[in-house]
Amino acid sequence: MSQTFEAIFKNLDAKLKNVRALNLTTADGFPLYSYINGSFKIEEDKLSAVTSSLTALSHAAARQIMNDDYESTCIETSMGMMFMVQTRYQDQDCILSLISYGQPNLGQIRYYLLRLAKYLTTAKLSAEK
Amino acid sequence: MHKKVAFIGSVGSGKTTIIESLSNIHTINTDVQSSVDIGKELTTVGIDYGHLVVNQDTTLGLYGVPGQQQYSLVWDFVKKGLWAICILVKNNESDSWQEVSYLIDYFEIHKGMPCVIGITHADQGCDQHTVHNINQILAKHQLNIPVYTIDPRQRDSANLIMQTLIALEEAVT
Ligand SMILES: Nc1nc2c(ncn2[C@@H]2O[C@H](COP(=O)(O)OP(=O)(O)OP(=O)(O)O)[C@@H](O)[C@H]2O)c(=O)[nH]1
Ligand SMILES: [Mg+2]
Repeated sequence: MSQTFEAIFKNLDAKLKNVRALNLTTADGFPLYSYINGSFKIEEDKLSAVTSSLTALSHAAARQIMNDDYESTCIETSMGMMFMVQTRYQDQDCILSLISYGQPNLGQIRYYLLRLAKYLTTAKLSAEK
Repeated sequence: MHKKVAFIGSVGSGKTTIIESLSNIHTINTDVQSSVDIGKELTTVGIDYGHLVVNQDTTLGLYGVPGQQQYSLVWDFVKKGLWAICILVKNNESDSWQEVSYLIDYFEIHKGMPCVIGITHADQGCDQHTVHNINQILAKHQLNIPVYTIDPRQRDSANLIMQTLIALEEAVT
């Protein structure tokens, strides 16, 4: 049976704590799945557009300036963090992003998000958002 | 002096292409595969950047934005501190010229700012209406902006835009 995106979110939140949002978007910024925790307000379309722009720019920085392969992008704020990784879902280039608040542990976030990104390359999620 | 020029206009109008034609450096490119049919494979989601040396005193930063309006956050960033703007319009495509009015407002294009409109894809069947419709929009905004037919793939054609912008600045100042 295929998992729902909500189940994936809950699973991740149980490990990481304080996860506010998880989003899967196509590389060109169309949201596929989003889950936003509780009362937290995020516009899904805006989040998808921002992650695709930032990832494309990070990609350009990695390839054209650092001469290396792109892996992930992290934004730190005074209260939390947004972490973006590339993935493929259903044969499409996609971006998986996570917003966390409180005292996020970058190492853990990176570990679990990269693992989830790998899982998504072969997964088929339940159609329910 | 280093000046900032923006290339704006609808999806597929040739913004990324013209910056590649004009730039003296390898451009920064943020195109990705489009997941919907937009008549081409790739679309810009971040920013295009190229660099053009005009002469000893002047260099231009060439900034291309995504045509899709959902990326207006990139437009906001590029909009700051602009010296000049080039609007590209795809010939024979009503959405493309209809958007010109919105772009003029969004980028706050005014009389004192060098601005040029380039109609692209004119080799794929010419439509006289596009020029006429654009001129009507310009009249409504009380702007007097030169409108050319160009091919962004050709360096000489693309250069016409840059030469016009420079000449316009001399006329303004
Ligand atoms: N035949 C013809 N093709 C053109 C002309 N101008 C541009 N093209 C082609 O049309 C396409 C334009 O694509 P881009 O330069 O990516 O367009 P863009 O404005 O950057 O589009 P977005 O980034 O998606 O908003 C390219 O494949 C060009 O080779 C033209 O005048 N004639
Ligand atoms: Mg482009």
